[in-house]
Amino acid sequence: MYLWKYWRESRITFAVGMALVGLLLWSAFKFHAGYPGPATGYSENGVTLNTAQNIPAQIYLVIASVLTLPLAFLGLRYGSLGAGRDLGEGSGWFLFSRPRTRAFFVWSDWSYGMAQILLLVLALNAVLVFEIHRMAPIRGPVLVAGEPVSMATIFVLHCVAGLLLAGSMFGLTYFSSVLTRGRGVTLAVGVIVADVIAKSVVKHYWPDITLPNLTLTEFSISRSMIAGFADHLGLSIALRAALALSFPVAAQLLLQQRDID
Amino acid sequence: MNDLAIETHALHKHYGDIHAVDGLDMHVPRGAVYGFLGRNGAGKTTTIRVLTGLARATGGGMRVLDLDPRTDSVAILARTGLVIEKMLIPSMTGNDLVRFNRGFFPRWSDTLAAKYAEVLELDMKRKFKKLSTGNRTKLCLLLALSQGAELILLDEPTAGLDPVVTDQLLRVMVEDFANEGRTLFLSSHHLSEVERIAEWVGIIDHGKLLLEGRLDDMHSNFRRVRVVGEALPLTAWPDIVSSNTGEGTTEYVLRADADAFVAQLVSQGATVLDVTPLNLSEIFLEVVGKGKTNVSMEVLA
Repeated sequence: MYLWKYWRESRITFAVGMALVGLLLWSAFKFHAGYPGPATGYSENGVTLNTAQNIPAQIYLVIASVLTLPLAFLGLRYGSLGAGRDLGEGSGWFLFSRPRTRAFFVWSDWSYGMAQILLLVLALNAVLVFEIHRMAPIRGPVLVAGEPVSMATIFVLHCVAGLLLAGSMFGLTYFSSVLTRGRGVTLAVGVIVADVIAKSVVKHYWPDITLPNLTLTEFSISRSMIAGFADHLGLSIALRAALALSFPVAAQLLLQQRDID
Repeated sequence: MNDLAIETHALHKHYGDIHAVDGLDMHVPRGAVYGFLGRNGAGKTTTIRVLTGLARATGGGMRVLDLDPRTDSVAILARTGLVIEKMLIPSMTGNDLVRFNRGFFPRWSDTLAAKYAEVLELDMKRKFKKLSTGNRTKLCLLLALSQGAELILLDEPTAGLDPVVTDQLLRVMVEDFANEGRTLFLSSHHLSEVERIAEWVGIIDHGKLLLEGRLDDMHSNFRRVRVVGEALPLTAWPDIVSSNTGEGTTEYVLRADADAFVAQLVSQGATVLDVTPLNLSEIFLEVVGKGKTNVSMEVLA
């Protein structure tokens, strides 16, 4: 029953997201009838490739980096819903006097929100790959940073990167909403801006130091992902996932310590 | 099973230097209608928050339905109907809120919800944020009263309601709860309403319970005694709540043993003008020490 409440709050966001995905799908059919590809092939790193096979990766690379913004917005939007919103609207007493633990409310919000985000990320990436395939048919591996990589690998990594990005924004905003009683978006945006400024300052004065990227943008760019793949990408993903998870854990601990007014 | 639905011992709740609840000792019998009276800021709402686990006690002990709110708040909330603030989820209609609430309470009654919606003249299809203050209060009450709770905790339940609806609500509460053996705990400063339905009364001020007992006993024991003269010898009687002197008379308010007090005065040669009982409002004003000083209209309401 509680999930129904979260669904009521998030359904418009989910519907708009799915509608945009549908629009992309429609445009794939409407405007891209299929790209025949060149007749001749060439060899690179021992793999025979069509010249067109670099095109999908490049297009996907560009689009995926542009996707950072809507995915961040998606995370911000989902994080502003749920228990933090109720605290801001003055109905926190009502919600938290329903007979469930405070952890129940936090993790119900989080798991249901993340489930919706996962669906949107999967659908978005699947439609993007489909649309690119309509523009320039993907046959076999594509070249990324001079390396042949299967489109399936790129697809999965982009989905993971998108999920981690939106999930981190979701968690940060959710925690901020609980902390500030409903003004989570403002605080989360403030944190992101502060993070960008801090990075710029550090880069200016200490060029050798690179601060971790809160928005996970490096994961949304295939080139970095593949480079990272050889450099413990799994560990990097696990650390980002831990960061994304730390926010709902912090929200739960905060709620358990706090008086509800 | 404990005979008390709520029991507190030296309960404390501090916010920094503010002692919202300051050593509260309270005993609410099971099945009673208990009026919890106090001025604004006396500690009524904070006490309810602590009892339901919404706020953490700073010190002291408490049991609610034989459970400790610090460790068993979920079990307490499953058996307790609660209204504190008159704010629910703004985007939901009354029907949505019923649907939402139903899932949390196995003993939820749709029949009761429909009945209260009719009695309280509620438009269940309107969003909560579009309801008037009075209708918001009604909806809060509807949800709390329909969940089949053993204990109902209501903070200012009639605030914002017109006299007709207040009357209907009080009837419903007596019929559906007081006569069903369930415990009804209502905090209020609308003393006439409490007096109408409460069997037990507790008066809180500055976080301390100043008086607790059966309302009938209070009516029987509290007396105002007017005596001729301004320099009377009897001022150290243990049950004197207050004494005021002026215009050739002295007025005493006693919490008990008024007959013995009068006999003692007469034996010392004093002339007793009259001995009159006090209603709850008068008792309240005397107990919180405001009987002869300016008291806000809210308290007098």
